[in-house]
Parts: sequence; C-alpha cells; structure tokens
Amino acid sequence: MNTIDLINKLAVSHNITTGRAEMIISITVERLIEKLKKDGETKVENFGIFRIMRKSSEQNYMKMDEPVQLSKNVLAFEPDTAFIESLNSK
Amino acid sequence: MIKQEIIEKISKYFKLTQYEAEKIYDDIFAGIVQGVKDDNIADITNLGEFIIKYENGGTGNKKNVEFLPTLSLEEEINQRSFEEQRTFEPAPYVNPLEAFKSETNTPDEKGILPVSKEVPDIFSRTEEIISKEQPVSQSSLAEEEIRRRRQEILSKITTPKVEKQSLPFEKESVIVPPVVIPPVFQDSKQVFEEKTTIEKAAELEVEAEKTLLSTTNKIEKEISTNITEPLIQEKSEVDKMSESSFSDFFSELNEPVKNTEIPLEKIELPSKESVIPPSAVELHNELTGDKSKSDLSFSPVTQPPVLNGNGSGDSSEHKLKDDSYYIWYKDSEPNVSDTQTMSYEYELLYQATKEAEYKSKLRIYVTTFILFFSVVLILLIFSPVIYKYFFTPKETDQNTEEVQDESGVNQVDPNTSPTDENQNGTQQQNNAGVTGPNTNPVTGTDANNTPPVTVQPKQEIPKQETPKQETIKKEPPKEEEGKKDQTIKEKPKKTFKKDLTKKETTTEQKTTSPSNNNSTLPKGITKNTMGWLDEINKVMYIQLESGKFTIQESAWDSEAKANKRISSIESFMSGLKGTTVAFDMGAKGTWYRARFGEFTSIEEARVKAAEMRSRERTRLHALILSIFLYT
Repeated sequence: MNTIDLINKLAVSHNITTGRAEMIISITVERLIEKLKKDGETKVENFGIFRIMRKSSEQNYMKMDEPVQLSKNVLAFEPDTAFIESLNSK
Repeated sequence: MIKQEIIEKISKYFKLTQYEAEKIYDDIFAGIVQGVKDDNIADITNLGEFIIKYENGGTGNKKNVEFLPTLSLEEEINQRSFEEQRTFEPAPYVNPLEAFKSETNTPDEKGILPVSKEVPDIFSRTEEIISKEQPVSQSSLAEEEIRRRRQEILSKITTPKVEKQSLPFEKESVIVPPVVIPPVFQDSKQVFEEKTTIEKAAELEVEAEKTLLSTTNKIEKEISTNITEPLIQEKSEVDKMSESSFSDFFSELNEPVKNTEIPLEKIELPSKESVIPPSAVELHNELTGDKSKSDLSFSPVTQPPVLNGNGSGDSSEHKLKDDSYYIWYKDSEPNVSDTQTMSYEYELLYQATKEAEYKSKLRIYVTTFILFFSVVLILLIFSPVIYKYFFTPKETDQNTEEVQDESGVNQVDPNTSPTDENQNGTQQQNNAGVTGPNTNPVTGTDANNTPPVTVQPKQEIPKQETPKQETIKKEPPKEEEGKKDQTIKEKPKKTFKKDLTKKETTTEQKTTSPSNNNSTLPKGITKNTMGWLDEINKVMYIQLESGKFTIQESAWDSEAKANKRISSIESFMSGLKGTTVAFDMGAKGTWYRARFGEFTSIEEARVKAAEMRSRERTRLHALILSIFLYT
C-alpha cells in the first residue's frame, strides 16, 4: 500500500475528491512531523508513538583527513498495542 | 493534543465538521494499519515506510512493525539535533534577593530577631515581578531556551528602544534598599533601645515598603506598557511563524482569506524575511560562536525557489549549502513576455529594413517603367514624323528610282529595238524643238536634229529672254512647249499608254541628255529625264508647260498620303501652294506627285526648296530636342 491507495480509500469512504484527500493526508503528516520536531515525541492514538532518539557514532578512532562522524538522531516508532493486536489478529 | 490540532485544521480549511474531520483523521491511521496488515508494508510520502517485522525468525506468530523514515525526514531531524547541539546553555540565574536572603539568614543563625522575617515577604513581591519578567530562565526545556534566546536577539535588533527602557528597570529591580540589622545586646536598656530602634526600623521598613510598592507599581505599569506587550506580541508572531507550515498556506477553498483566522495575505513569504533579518542571524552566529552556519538555518520556513517564468518551479535557481547555485533547465520554457518583446523589436526592425528595400526597389522599377513607357509613348506620338524623317529620302530615292527605271527602260529600248528608236527618232525630230535644251546629244538622231545652240535649262529660262540674239532657236522651244503641254494635259486624264509613255521618256531622255553636259547648272543639280534632280535638297524641279518650274517634293502611292504631305509642308511654308499630279506607272500603279509652287527659274525653286528642307529639318530637330528634354 502506498499514499495513492490511501488517498483513494479516503476519498471513496468520505465522498471527497482525491485532491482533498491528498491535502488532508499531507497536512496530517506535516503537522505530525512538526510536532515531532518540536517536542521530540508524538503520540497517535491506536497507532503508536514516534520518538526521536540519539544514536552515537560507531566510529572508535579517527583517521587522518577524514571528517568527524557526529552522532545523529534517529526516528523510532513504537507501535501501539492496538496496532500490534490488529496485525496479529486473523 | 496533536489529534485535536489536526482535526481543527482540517475542519477549518475544508469546511468540515469536527466529527467528520475526526473520522477522517482516524481513517487515515486505520488505513495505514490496514495497509500494513494486508500488504505487509505501507509507504507514506514524506513520512516513511511501515513494514511488518517477524520477531521469531520470520516464521513466528508474533508480528511487529518497523518504521523506516524517509531521508528527508531524517535530514530534518538531524538538522534539529544540530540546532540543539548549538543551543545556548544559560548560566544559572542568581537572584540577588536570594543572595541577600542567604546573607540575612546567616545572622539568623547567630540570633536574628523575628522581625526580620517580614523582610523576605517584602522582597518576595519584587522577586515575583522579576520572575514575571524572566519566566523563561526557569524553564528547563532546550526548545524554550532557544526561543528565549532568539527573542532576546530579536528584541535587541528590532526594538532597540525597549532595550534602553529595560535598563533602568533592571537597575531598580536589582538595587535593594539597604536594611540595617542591629546587633543583639544582652542588657535591658539596650533591649529597650533596641525596641525603639526596632520600632524605628519597622517604621522605616513600612516607609520602604510603601516606596517599594509605589516603585513596583510604576515598574509594573512600565513593564506592561512598554515591554511585556510588544514582547508578547512578538513572541506570538514568532510562534505563529515558527509553527506555520505548508498546510497553513494551503487551501482548496476559493475564498480562504475571509474564512480563516489567519489571512493568507499576512502570511506572505516576503514578510517572513523581515522577521529574522540577516543582521540578527549574524549576531546570533557571533554569540553562539558558529560562523559556518548558513543564513537560512534560523528561518522558520524555507523559501520556495524563485520561479523562472514557467510556473512549475523546475527550472529555477536552487541554493546549495555552500551558497552556490545551480539552475535547472529541464523542461524550461522561454518567458512569453521576453519573447514577445524581442519579437516585437525584431519585427519593427525587420519591417523598417523591408520597407526601405521595397521603396528603393519600387523607385527603380517605377523610374524604369516611366522611362520605357514615355519612350514608347513618344515614339508612338511622333511615329509619323519619324517615319517621314527616315523614310522620305527613300521616297525621293524611289522617285529617282522610278525615274531611273523609266530612264532604264528607255535606255534598254534603244539597244533592243533600234527601229523604235528610229521611229522615235522621227518623233524626236518633231519633238526636238520641244525638248530643245533637254535633248541628248548621245543619240545620233538627236545629234543631227538638236541644234547645238540649245542651252541648259537654267540658262534657258533666262534664255527665254536671250532668244533675241538667236532668233532661230526661239521657235523650237515654243513648239516643244506646245507639244509638252499636250503631253502634260494628257497625264491628268490618265489616258496614257505604255507606248506613249515610253515614247515620251525616250524623247525626254533624248532631250535631257544634252543638258547633262551643261556645265552652267549649279552644283548638286543634275538633269534627269523628268526634270532637274536636286541631290542636296532631295527634290526635283519640273518645268511646266507654262515654262515655269515647280518643285516635286515627293511621290506617293495614294492621293491621301500626297495631300497629307502637301498640307504638312504648307503648314510651315506659308505662301507655298502644293498640288498633286497623278502619274500611271504601269505595273507599279498610279503614283501621285506632290509639287509645290511655280517659279520662274530653277535657282528660285532651288532656294525655296532649300528653305523648305531647312525648316523641316529645324522642326524635326526641335521635336527631337523636346523629346529628350521631356525624357
């Protein structure tokens, strides 16, 4: 499944145009990311929690004339129990 | 929290109810869950992929979800972390009042009076005021620290007046009125004195409290009027701008400005540039000590690429991190207005050059056409004159040829038929006296018959007076004249026959032949069978029956032509009367001779002929000159 499928599904179920559905999805995703960037953590009910986690560099030693590898942030997703249950349910 | 924000935004922009927006919001994530469940993967644009992960080696029963964010999202997160790394860690705020309290506590340990406990209450108000002034300093969140620092920088740059006003306030807030705490004494007197002093001190404290209250009120007012309100406004603006995203500028509605709380006109991109001016960013970089950071690091919203005219934004300038640009030319189209202006200018230039070329060519064509047409027209107009000028000599030649033919015939005849000559000779004998001076001495008969006394015709006319000297010779001319008149009279009647004409010509030849030998004729005039041929003026002088001479100018095959010629000559020769004389040429038909005037002598006729020719020539020259002048 990709975004187009989701758009079509949303448009059909709510009787709106695909353009509107696309806009709604983009707004939702954008707002989600904004919130995540702002707070470092975003929780979506019955879906999961998005969390920014610090990941240290794996480099133990530095070579000459090599840029220093800095630690970077990683986006982690912790699915909600409802999500896991729906996946595991038949 | 996030759910409510999104629902409100959706309901606001798409004019949906809260319930509908909430349903849509739930359906989005339910759709993602269903997609992951059905297809084991859900790819959401700008967010990432949700993939099912089997925890027990792929064959286990339990499924888990793994999230792989997109590269753009990862970059954004790392950019945020970069900002976090460089966040300013403010020094712990040391309140001077607290320090003072701590100092006041020390004597308490030593035995401070309980009266002094009121003092912290007094200063607690000022502390509260100060805490209102700087509430951010107490927050522990890094984000709020960053925002506060930004706000301070902005207030420094954008509102310098506020900074100036805040200085006295800080001084007043920091300076604490000195409170003298007396030492503790053991004696009662001292205690009493101390009481009095304490009372005094209490009064002083009350006064100080009043003064402090008044000053705090003033300060509160000043803060509320000058500092807090603009700061709050700016803070709210900054919050709005920082929280604004693509969705804030995006709406499908036709008239979103009227319905939305934040009009789109106010959220125009150029206004955002004024929020954080470049000088502020530079100052911030100086403060934080990072000069390598780009100018756009603090801009809340990245500016869209400047369009290149095609509207798609694909062919625009893109700024890289190292401040270098690249231009995307793919699918780029030329600007319509530029091409229009260029084409218009080129069109003008092209038209101007074309017009000049066309004019020059047209001028050449027109002049050549006019010249050619005028020449043709002139030729057409003066064709009769030209015809006359070029063909009249031929006509005269024709006349001479005619005469020559006649003479040729006459010449042949004597050779071929001498009998005829003899026969003619008898006639010539009769006509010898008629022709008189014209008789040809070549022929034997003429030599015998014609008297040698006969003189040339020119001299003959004056000789008409001379016959007084030669009486014998008087008679024959008269007879000749009589006979000649007979022949001339017969000619208009057109009753001549060939034989007759032949005879006449032979007689004329015979008569004229002696005159050729006459040396008294003027130069250019020769005696012919018909008369005297003037080679200079191209005319013939014919002697009439009356003995007078006439000018035979030309001969024509039609009477009309002859009359036309006569009238044309009469037009410029006043007093000269022309006549036409018909002459049957046998096989050649009847010819009409144009003759002019009657003159007593050949010399007189010659003068008139010369005058006629000269006038005709001058007229023709004038015509040619006028044509040339006209052209």
